Amino acid sequence: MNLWYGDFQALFDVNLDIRAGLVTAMIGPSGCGKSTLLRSVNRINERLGYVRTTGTIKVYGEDIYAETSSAIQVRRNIGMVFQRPNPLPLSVRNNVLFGHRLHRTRSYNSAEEDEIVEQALRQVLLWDRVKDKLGTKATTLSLEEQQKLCIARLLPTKPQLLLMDEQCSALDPEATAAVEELIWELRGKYSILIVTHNMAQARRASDECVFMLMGKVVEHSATEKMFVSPEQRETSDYIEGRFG
Amino acid sequence: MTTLDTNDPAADPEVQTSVFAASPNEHKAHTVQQVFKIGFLAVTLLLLIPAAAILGVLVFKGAPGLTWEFLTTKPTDNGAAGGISTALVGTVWMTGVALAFSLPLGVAAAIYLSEYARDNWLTRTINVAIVNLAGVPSIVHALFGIGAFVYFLEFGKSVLAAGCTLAVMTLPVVIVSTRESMQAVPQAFRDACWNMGATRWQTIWKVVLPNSGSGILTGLILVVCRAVGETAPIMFTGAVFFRQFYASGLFDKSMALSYHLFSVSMHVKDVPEHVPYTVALTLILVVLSMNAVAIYFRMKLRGKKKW
Amino acid sequence: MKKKSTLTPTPRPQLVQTHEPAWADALDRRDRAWALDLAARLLVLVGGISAILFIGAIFLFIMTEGLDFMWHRMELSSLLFGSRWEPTVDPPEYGALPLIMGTVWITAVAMIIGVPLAFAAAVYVGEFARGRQREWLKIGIEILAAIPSVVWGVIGLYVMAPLIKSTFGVQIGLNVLNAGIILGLMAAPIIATIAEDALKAVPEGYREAAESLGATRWQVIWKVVLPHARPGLSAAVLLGVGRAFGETIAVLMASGHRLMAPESVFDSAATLTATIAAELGEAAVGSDHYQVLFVLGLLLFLITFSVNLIADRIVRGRKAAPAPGAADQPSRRVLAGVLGILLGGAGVHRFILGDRFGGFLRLFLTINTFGAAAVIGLIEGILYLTKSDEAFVQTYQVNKKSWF
Ligand SMILES: Nc1ncnc2c1ncn2[C@@H]1O[C@H](COP(=O)(O)OP(=O)(O)OP(=O)(O)O)[C@@H](O)[C@H]1O
Ligand SMILES: [Mg+2]
Repeated sequence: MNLWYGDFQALFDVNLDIRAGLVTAMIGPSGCGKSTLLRSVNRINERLGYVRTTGTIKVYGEDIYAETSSAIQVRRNIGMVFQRPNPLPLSVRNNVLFGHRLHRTRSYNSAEEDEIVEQALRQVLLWDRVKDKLGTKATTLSLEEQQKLCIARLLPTKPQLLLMDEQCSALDPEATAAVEELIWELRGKYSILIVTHNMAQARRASDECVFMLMGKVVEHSATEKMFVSPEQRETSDYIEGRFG
Repeated sequence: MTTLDTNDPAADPEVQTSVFAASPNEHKAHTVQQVFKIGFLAVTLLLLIPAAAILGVLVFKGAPGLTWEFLTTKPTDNGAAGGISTALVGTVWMTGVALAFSLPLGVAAAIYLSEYARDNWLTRTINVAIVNLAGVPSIVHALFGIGAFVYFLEFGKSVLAAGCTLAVMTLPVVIVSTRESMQAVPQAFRDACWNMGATRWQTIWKVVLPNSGSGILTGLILVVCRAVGETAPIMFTGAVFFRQFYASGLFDKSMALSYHLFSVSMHVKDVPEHVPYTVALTLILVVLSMNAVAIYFRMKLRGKKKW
Repeated sequence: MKKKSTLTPTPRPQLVQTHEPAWADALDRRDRAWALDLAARLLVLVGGISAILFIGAIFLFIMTEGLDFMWHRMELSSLLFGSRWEPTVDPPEYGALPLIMGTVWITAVAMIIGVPLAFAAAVYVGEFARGRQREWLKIGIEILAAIPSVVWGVIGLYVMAPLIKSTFGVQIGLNVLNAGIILGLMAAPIIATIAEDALKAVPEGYREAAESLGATRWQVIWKVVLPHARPGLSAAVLLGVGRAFGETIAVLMASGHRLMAPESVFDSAATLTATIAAELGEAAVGSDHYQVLFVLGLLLFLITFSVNLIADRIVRGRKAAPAPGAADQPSRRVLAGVLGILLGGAGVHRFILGDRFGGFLRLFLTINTFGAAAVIGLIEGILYLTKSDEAFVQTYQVNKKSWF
C-alpha cells in the first residue's frame, strides 16, 4: 500500500505478511514510516483529514480499507497502544469497559461487567495492584500501570491483533521489563505488532522482525535470522549502529 | 498489499463471514451521531438567525432614512427630526479620548505582562484584575466615572469624563488582544536580539512591537466598537440628550450616537417610526465595518504567519 | 543508531548553565540605552499595575459616594429584603427586593435560553464543523457578539414586544420574557466562545485514544470530551450569568421597567442595573436616593467580582496540573475567599479557616468601626482567591497565617 500526508508520500508499496499468534517487531530509523504503517492498520490515520491511502491492508484475509469494511469494526478488532500511555480521564474500571460499552450488543449487569474488568486486568497482570482502586482516575496511576491499562482496555472487545507503537519509550527500565514480560504473556492469544527503537528489545521480545527504511520494507524475517545473518546491507548497517 | 494472515480460524468463529462489516450496533451509533450533528447545527443556526434577522429588519426599515443629509445635518425637535451630525461628532470625540488613554496604557500593560512579568503574586493579581475589569457591569463603570472623573477630578459632565470612563472599560480589551499577539512572537526572535547585546527595551522596540502590530490594531478596533456602542457609561458622564452644537472642547458636553438612539426610542415624543431604525443602522454599520476590518486582519495574519 | 531507549541511557554532556540574563552586561554600560531601558521598564510597570489600580479605584469611588448613607442611615436587611422600592414618595422606601427578584428572573430566563444555544453552538463549531463552514459560523457568532446593547434594546422595544404580544396574547410585550430572550442572545456568543475554548483544551490524545477503540465522534464528545471539559463549561455559564446580570441598557428598554417583583415571565420587571440607569439622572447629587443607587452599584460590583473570580479560578485551576500528594487537606480557598469578600466584616472567612479568635476579632473591629473594617475581609478574600490551592493550604490551613 501507499500513503500520503498531503503531498508527502510516507509509505511506498509496503508489502507485509504478519503471522498470527506471533510477536512481530518493526524496526527502522526515525521517520521511516513505522508509526504511519501501524496507524493505518488501525485506520486511526483517517482522523487527519489530509491523509490519502491507496492499496489494501488485509487482516484475516480481508481488506480493512474495502468499501464493505467499517473503520469502527476495524478498530474494534485491531487494538492500538500508543507511545505515551493515554488512558482516558475516567476511572480505571470505566477505562477497561470503554471499548466494551461501545461495541456490546446487549446490556450487561454490573456483575458481568466486574467479571470483564477483572479478566482484562488479570491478563495484563494489573489486577492485584489496582483491584482496590478501580474507582480512581486512571490518569493518577503510574506510567507503567497506565500503559498496562491501555493494553487491558483493548482486550474486552476480543481483538486478534494488537498494535503497539514504542509502547515502552515513556517508561523506566523496570516498567519496560514488566511490559515486555506482559507482551510475551499475551503472545499466542493475540497477534502482536510492535514498533521499537530498541534493538535489544526487538531481539528479546519478538518472533519476527521487519526492517523499514524510507517508507519501504527492506527485510522481513525471523528475529534470530535478522540479527544473526541479515540479507540486506542496509539492515546489517542499521543493526550494527552505522546509521539511524 | 499488506496482509496480516491468521492461520488460526478457531480463534474467531466469524472469520469466514466479514469481520469488518459494519454491525447493527454501529449503524445505530452512526445514526445517533448524525442526529446530534444535524440537531446541533440547527441550534447553532437558531442562534445566528436572530443576528441575520436583526440586520435584515434594521436595513429594511432604516435604510431609506439613511442619507448623507441625515448624517450631516443637526437634529431638531429634541432629536425627533433633522439629522444626527452632533451625535456622530460627539461619538467620535468620546471614542477618540477613550483610545488616547486606553491604547497606550493597555499596550504598556501588555508589554509588561508579556515581556517583563514573572509568575509571581503581582502578575497573578494583575491578571485577576484584568478579568474582573472586563466583567464589571457597564453601569458600574458609569458610577465610577461619575465619582472619579466628573466630581473627584472635576472634569464635570464632559467629553473628557465620558471618554475616560470608556477608556477604563475598554482597557482589558486592549491588554488581552495585544498581549496575545506579543506572546505569539517566537522566543527565538528575542533571543537573537539579546544575543547581539540589545537591552530588553531595544528588543521590545525593534522586534516585539513591530511583530505584534496586528494585535494592537485589533485592540484598537475592538475599543472603537465597544466605545461606539456603549450607552450606560456615557449617559451620566458626558452625553446629553439633545444639543445642537458640536462640543467646543474636551470639557464640553456633547450628544452621542448610542445615547441618542436610546433617547429617541425611549423618551422623545413624536419620533417618526423609521428614525430609531435608521440611527440603529448607522450604529451597527460602524461597529460591523470595524469588526470586518479586524476579521480581515486576523485572516490575513493567519495566512501569512509561518515562523 | 538512535538511542531512544531507557534501557541504555547515554550520558549527556552537562552544559554549564549561567543564570545571568542576556541583558546583564548592558547593566554595566550605564549609557543612554540603559537609561531608556529603565525608564521603559518603569513605564510598562505602571501600565501593568493600572488594571489593579482601576479595580481598586472603582471599588473605592463607588463606596465613598454612598458611604454617608451606608454608615448612618442604611439597614442592610431592609435594603436587601424590603419589598418596596419607592424612592420618590415621602417617606421614601429603599427596599431592593423587587429589583433583585427582577434581576434573578430575567437572568434565569436568559440562561435557560442562552446556555443550550451556546453549548450546542460550541459543540458544533468546536467538534463537528470543519474548514470554511467553521470560519463562517465563527464570524456569525462574532457578529452576534458585536451588536451594541442599545441596538438590542431597540429590537426588544420595537420587534420583540409586538411579537410577544401577538404570539402569547398578553397585554404587555415588554416583560421578563422579552428581556430574557434578548439577554440570552446577548450572552450566548460569550458563553459559546468560552465553552469552545474549554472543549479545545481537552487533550487531543484523549480523542485519539477513544477513537482508536472504535468510538464515533459523537461518542468521543459525549463520553470523554464533555465530562472532561465540565469545569470549563461551568465557568462559561458563570461568565454568561455575570454578563446577563450586569447588562443595563438593553434590559432597561426591553423589561418594561416596573418596580415590582415579577410573578410570571409575562410581567414587566426592573433589574438592579436598569434601576440605577433610570434613576440616577433624577436623583439629586448627594441625596439619599443618589447614594442608595451607589450602594446598589457596590453590590453589583461585589457580586460580579466574585462570579468572575470563581470562573477565572475554575478555568485556570484546570491548567495547573495537580501536583500529586500536594493537597493533603481539601482547600477551602474559594469558599473562604468569596465569604471574605461578601461577609468579611463578620469574620466568616476566618471561622471557615478554623480561626475562631480571628473571626471574632474581625467582627468586633467591624462593629466598632461602623463597618469600615469590613475592608480587611474584602482584601483578604481577594488575596485568598489569587493564591493557588497548594499555596493557600500551606499558608492558611497549615501555617495558620492570621492576617492577610
Ligand atoms: N501527521 C503527519 N503529517 C504529515 N507528515 C507526517 C505526519 N506524521 C508523520 N509524518 C511524516 O511521515 C514520515 C514517517 O513518520 P512516522 O511517524 O511514521 O515515522 P516513525 O518511523 O514512526 O518515526 P519515529 O521512529 O520517530 O517514531 C515522517 O517523515 C514524518 O515527518
Ligand atoms: Mg513513531
